[in-house]
Amino acid sequence: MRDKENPEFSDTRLFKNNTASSAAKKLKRREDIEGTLMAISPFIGYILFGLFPMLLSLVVSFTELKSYDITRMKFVGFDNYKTILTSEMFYTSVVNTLYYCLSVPVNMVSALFIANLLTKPLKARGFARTVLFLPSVCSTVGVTLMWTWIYEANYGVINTFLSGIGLPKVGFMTTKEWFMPSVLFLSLWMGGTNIVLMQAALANVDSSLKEAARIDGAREITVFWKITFPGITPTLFYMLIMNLIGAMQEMAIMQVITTNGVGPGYRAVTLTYYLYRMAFTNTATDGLGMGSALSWIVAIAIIIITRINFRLSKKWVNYD
Amino acid sequence: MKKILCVIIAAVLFSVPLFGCGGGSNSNVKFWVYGDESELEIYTIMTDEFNETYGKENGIKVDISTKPPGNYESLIQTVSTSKSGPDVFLCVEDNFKKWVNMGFLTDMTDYLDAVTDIDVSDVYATTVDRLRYDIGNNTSNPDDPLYGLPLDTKPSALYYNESMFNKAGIIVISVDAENLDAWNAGEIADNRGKTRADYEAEYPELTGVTVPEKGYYRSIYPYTADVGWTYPDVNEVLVFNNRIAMNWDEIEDLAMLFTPSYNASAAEDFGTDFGYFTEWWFNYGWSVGGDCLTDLSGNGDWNFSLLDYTPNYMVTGESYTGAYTGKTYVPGETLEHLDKFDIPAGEIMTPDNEGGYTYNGVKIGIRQSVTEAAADGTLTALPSTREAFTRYLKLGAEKTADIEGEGGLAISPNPLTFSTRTRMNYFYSGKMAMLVDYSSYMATVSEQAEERGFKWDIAPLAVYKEYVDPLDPGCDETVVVGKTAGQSNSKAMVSRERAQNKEAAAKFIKWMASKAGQSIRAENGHFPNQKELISDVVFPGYAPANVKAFSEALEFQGAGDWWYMADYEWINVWAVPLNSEVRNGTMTYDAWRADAVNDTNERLKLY
Repeated sequence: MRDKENPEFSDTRLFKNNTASSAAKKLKRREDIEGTLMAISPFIGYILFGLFPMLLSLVVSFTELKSYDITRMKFVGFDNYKTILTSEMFYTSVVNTLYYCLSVPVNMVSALFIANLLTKPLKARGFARTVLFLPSVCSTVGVTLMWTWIYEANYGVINTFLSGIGLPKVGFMTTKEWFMPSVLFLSLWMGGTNIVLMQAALANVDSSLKEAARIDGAREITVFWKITFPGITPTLFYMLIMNLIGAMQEMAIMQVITTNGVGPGYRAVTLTYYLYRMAFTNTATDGLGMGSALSWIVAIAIIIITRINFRLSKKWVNYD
Repeated sequence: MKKILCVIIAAVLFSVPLFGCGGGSNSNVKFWVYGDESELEIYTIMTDEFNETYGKENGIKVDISTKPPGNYESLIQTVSTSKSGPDVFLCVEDNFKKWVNMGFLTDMTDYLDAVTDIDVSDVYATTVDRLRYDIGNNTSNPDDPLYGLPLDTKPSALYYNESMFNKAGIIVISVDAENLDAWNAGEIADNRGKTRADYEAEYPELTGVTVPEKGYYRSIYPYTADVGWTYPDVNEVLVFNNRIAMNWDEIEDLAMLFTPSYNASAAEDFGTDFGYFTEWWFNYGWSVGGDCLTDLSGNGDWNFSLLDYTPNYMVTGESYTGAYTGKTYVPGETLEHLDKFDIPAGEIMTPDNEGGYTYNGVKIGIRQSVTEAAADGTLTALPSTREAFTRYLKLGAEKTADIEGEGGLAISPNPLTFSTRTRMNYFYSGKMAMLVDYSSYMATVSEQAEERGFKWDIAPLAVYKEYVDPLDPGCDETVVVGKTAGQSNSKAMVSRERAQNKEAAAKFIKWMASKAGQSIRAENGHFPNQKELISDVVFPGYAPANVKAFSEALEFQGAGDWWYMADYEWINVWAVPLNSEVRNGTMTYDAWRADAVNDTNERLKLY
């Protein structure tokens, strides 16, 4: 039995009970505040630079705003949306955007092909990988400017070569027919990121499965379609989604590559470039209201297309 | 201690962006500029002079700040609604009306009027009027609000490769029209200090030939669009006078000599692809009194008029009073649409999609009083605006193209294949004999010419000029000479609606535009904005011998069509298919014409 007068050491408390809990509470509160402050800064950033501009652009899309001064907004209801959806230029820009979206399958197929080559035991594999990835780390504007000189009608490398061998010069950036194919090739050249992703995906495919299939007498093509391809579908799907969204938002190349701002026969006017022009080039006539309305139309289109892609992915993407 | 440190760091981090916004300078006026090295140097010299003189006397200090040219426009637009930012900054013509419409530029009329101790009355009216703007009516009349004053203006002229001309056997002289008789008589030297005898010693074929008042003279086979081009005869004397503007035939004639599709040996002899290039139609359309936009009411009801197919009329009598506007036209002026067409005063005519007009649904023609005045010689008919424009268009169109039933000339490249940089590159690399461009390229061409070893100079832009007998080589008597016209590009000093110190800004702007400011430009080899100061210009070593062609152009050259409206989307409507399809032969001129008027007028409704 314990002696009440002489308690054992284990029963001895160094400080009072209520003192300990108050210090812990204080520490917890401080941690809470610090944690909240830490967490709140990106949240404030998101509200200020993400959510607020987004909501503002939604509001602006229902107004006429031919200035950067927000006090000049005039509510016009759905007029901006109606004007855009009935304008010829909108449909021209849709066609141009869809044309540019061809870069997505072309880039994916070429990335798969090149990545597959790079998995082979080539001598200069590392060098080739670096060279292919290099354009992706360069600035789009810089690369596009470089290509404007390559494509240039009078002094460009390609046209100098063509005229050197007696062929007529080609207006890569000046003729309606050649403009978009030239831009697609340029985007293909910049597709190094896809190659790296694809290479990683190919490396992650279980090689024992492929070996087993080969031992069972499967041909290489069968090995690819039955084992390799299903293994890389999650990466292909990721690339599809990201590249498609990127293609639907393409603007930088178009803006830099044109000499007249819109390209031959308005070929350079993609949806995003069109909205940019409405908001920032033709501010006094189209304005930020029209630009914002088109940005929401584009956003909704991207959401719908992405949702459709996710639905369809259940039929071909293999996560096992 | 930690807490204190945290507070200090937080305070510093928080206040850094505010310093950026607040403007820690003590200056009264913030002046933002951009430009090349020589431009920045002159802006700085002028600002320093202002600070030391007028500024000091009036308690104003201007703080000049250089901004990168690449994003100057976006930088200015970013600060447009901010309280901080420049009080005075540079505005190019392309942005002027856009920025006024956006409520970003401040109306400086009253502020400038309040500065009574600085005189700017001698500044070229052509450069001041382009800074006036009535937003409501979209007009730039002399009594409309004034948003700034011009700082510098770049006139345009015809750059030509003189070495190439000499190689082709062309004698290049520099004789003003009023001195030609005396020069032909051997009494005086030309602007290069050479008499006829000097030229005859060098070119014996000139002996006995009286050089007529023509920009380009061929002694045997002058070219006309109707007769066609003939390669110069072995005995033919060719004279190019860089003091007299060529007419349309003459410049085409000269260009064909350097175009391989006309002169098979051009590529081998001169290394040229084309003879001539001008990106702008202005000295064609404006020369006959036409324009691409016409006000149908006098109150800013703009209509696309480049395809107007009716003749233009120039006053060649004493004067003419317009029946619609009541305006008294003086000799040399051309009639406005409202006075030319048969429309009752105060009424508005409606454009059709052909380039013509209707009133009450009925097609209207030329007013009877106009045709009567033309018959009695008070007015003289000039080609239609459409004729002038298609003449320009044919320069770069393929020979197989169909423009108003005729093929193109293909003596110029398609403008779409050139950026500003490459077109000058094309000229100095010897691929083209003549190029219309701005005075700002003088230094570049000079440098390149020295490096590549060729001679160059400039000449006035081509003008509409009709000779009594165009097939008579020596005939220089004219039926009519159109307006001397062309385009210059001006940079203005303007102020923001939210500028903090508009009174001081107005004083600075006015001083910079005045003789005090502009004489500094002249002393440093830059064109001043006043005729009186032209003779004071100390032209640097790179200026061409005939630099007068630039300074004379300052007097009459106006702003290009990109200045007409708040943006140039209305130009894209007709120019994009024209340049990218019609000129490349993938669209017929008729197909383009069918939509051009309607589509452009539709867009114009937005302005």
